[in-house]
Amino acid sequence: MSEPPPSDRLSPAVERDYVDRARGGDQEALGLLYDAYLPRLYRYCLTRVGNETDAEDLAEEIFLKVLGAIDGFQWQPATDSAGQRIERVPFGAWLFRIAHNHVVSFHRRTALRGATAELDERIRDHTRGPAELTETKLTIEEVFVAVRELPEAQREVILLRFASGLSIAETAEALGKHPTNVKVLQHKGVQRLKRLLADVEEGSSRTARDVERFEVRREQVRGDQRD
Amino acid sequence: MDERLGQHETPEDVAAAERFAGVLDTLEAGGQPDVDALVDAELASLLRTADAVREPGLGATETVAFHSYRARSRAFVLHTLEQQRVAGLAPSYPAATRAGATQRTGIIDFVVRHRGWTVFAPVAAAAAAAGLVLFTPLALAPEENRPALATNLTSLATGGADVEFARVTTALAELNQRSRNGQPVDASLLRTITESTTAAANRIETQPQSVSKTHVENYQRAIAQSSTVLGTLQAAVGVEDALAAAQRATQDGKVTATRFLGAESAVGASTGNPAAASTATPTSTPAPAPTVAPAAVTTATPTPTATATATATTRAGTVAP
Repeated sequence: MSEPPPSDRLSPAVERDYVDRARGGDQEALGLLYDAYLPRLYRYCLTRVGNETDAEDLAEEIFLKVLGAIDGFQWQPATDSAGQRIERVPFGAWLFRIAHNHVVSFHRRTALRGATAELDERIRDHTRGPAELTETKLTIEEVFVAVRELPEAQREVILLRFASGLSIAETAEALGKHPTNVKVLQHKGVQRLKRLLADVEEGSSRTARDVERFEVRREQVRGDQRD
Repeated sequence: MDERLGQHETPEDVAAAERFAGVLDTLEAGGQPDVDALVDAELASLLRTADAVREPGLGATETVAFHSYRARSRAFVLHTLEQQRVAGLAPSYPAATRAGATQRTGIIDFVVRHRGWTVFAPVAAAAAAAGLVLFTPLALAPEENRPALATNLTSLATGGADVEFARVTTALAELNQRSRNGQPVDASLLRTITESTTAAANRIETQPQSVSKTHVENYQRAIAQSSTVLGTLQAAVGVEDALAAAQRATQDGKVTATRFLGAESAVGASTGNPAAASTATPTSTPAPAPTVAPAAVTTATPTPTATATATATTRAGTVAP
């Protein structure tokens, strides 16, 4: 199973060092935080908006927002219901919480203007050619279309977990949910994705509504690109 | 009902979710979970689905285009943050406002739309090397502790449009001067050119009301005069990226300036722009189609001349590598 590249993840001690130095205006530390989080943040944005152009702009805006506000970031301990101190993964969770809200705002603005997500032709062309169309590999387009079919809570968990590589704990903190709830959402989300994608492949009528919605949405997205 | 659960989850749902999450944790930690594809067909299938969803995203950050975006964006973000910090601005940055649903803002969109340039990069590099035959090559020294640029780059690190554009013209003038004097051009100057050019172009696109036509015309002129120099520089080992970034930034800046001046000319006195008495027409037309060799793109005269006036202040801090 593919895993996030090791360079994407910082150890808690290293991350804390970078964050503390960045809060003091250390440019090198800011750059290191950027390097560590950009790939995951970009992947998250890409699967949220479905095209590289918007994903690039959003990732940049989010970084400016997060790193510009890092002076005010506080490492705060947390306790569970029994009053026991619990481990937190605050910075990454804080970053993706901001990212989530920022992308939500983007979608609201986009919806108000009536624009629809455009598809980057190059993404499809780049990730697979005709020979691969018969394989079960997904493209960014298909991931984007599929996750849009999920209920919002499941979609957020799926994207944070698999597009951004956040852990269960980080995802829970970013979304303000209990880790068990995140696990359940993850499980249900993957079940639904499996059903949706498998039915599209096999042309099954077992979940005809899902298949039809998926294909209609995919054609809508492609049509927007052609326009 | 357990408060950790949503409205409809049962303990059985939780147990299945916990098992799935546990297996994923093992895989993500590099371990091998104990999952029999025959006995646990459903679980194995879910793992394959999770992998299929994760994989396209990983590929998206392995492309040449992404790495190019990463380098440019990093420089821009750090430069912007440094400006804010030095100026003591509030942490919330001025968001890059979108000009409209169909109109993109920022350098990144332009480069994305002209991403074919990455295809021509090796050809451009070869053309630049070929330029050695016709032009005196300038060897780029590896980065070293140079004396501060005898210009006002430091004092130009903060401030409004005047300062921002002056920083660009000063940096480009420094480049031209070193070229004329046969001095090497180091990576730090190239990074300054990249950052300042990008910042100015970003201002033109996102805050057009804060720039005047004169600003942009001077900016465009400075870029044009430096294009030949940038196009024929021979990069030493380790400095290629800085040179490529500076070349891209100036090309982007030229297009941005042309677009602004074209709009100014078409509309007349643009709303919100400082009054500019000039009725000059754009000096060049937009060139959406990329060209192969950087040296061939330039409209500069063969012998660029410095236009900025150097003042005796120290060099601004540059972005960390």
